[in-house]
Amino acid sequence: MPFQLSTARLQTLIQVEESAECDVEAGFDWNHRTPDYLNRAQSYVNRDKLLEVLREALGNLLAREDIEAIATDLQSHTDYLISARLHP
Amino acid sequence: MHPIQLLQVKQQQMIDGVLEPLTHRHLNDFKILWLPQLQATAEEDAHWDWVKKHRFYETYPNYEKYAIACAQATQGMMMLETAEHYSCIDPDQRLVYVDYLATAPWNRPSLQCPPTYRLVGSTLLEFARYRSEQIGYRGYVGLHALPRAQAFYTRMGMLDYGKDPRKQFLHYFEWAPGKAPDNKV
Repeated sequence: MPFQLSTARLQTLIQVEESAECDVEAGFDWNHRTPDYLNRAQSYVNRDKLLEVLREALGNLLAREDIEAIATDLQSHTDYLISARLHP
Repeated sequence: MHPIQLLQVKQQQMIDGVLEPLTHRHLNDFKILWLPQLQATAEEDAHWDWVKKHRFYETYPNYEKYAIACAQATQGMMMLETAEHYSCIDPDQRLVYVDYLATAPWNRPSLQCPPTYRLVGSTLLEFARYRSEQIGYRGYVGLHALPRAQAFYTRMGMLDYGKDPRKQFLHYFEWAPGKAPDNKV
């Protein structure tokens, strides 16, 4: 059965949202749940060295912003993998 | 992809949207459209990083991520966990757990009055119940509500099981079929 809300149900939900008059949110603080070192200012990866390597390899092909975005993605993924290993 | 409808509040008219699996397009909307507005306020989730969350759970099949899009912008996002949570009403009953649910800043009454769209959060929550029924959990849904959102979940007919010390003392709510009236408007 496809997901479908009837007109009547939609009207009820509108009334619920209006009467609650509050934001609809759920889930606890991500930062408290994240292993400590994902919140650290410093990563396990030396960003300057990483950028140097990336620029050397890709500097002629990609813009500076793209290289920085790759470095950011790589840093956070590496930190996550280390986190998972050290805090199973 | 599921067609849905939202209420455009100022115009008081229903418009079409879509509820779909979360992609990088939605995460880009979070970075470019949501984050600047959230960081300018004291919003409880201002420091949530959906990009990190998405990457953190990307390879876990029991985590499902969805977004509502409308008017070329992401209006809300939700992450569900479908295998590891059990009902506190019936400890043998698995449930769909709403790990995270958030609406775009312009859809939050606390930030914008009136909000741009209504039905984003409630449609996502109803979809969580739909997934629960689809995978055989009979509509059981659980979540921890951010403090400002508790009134909404109570009005949706979810039962409040009080503060949970394991989850920063957020209130735990649960939908169980037949345990509470559907809505308290």
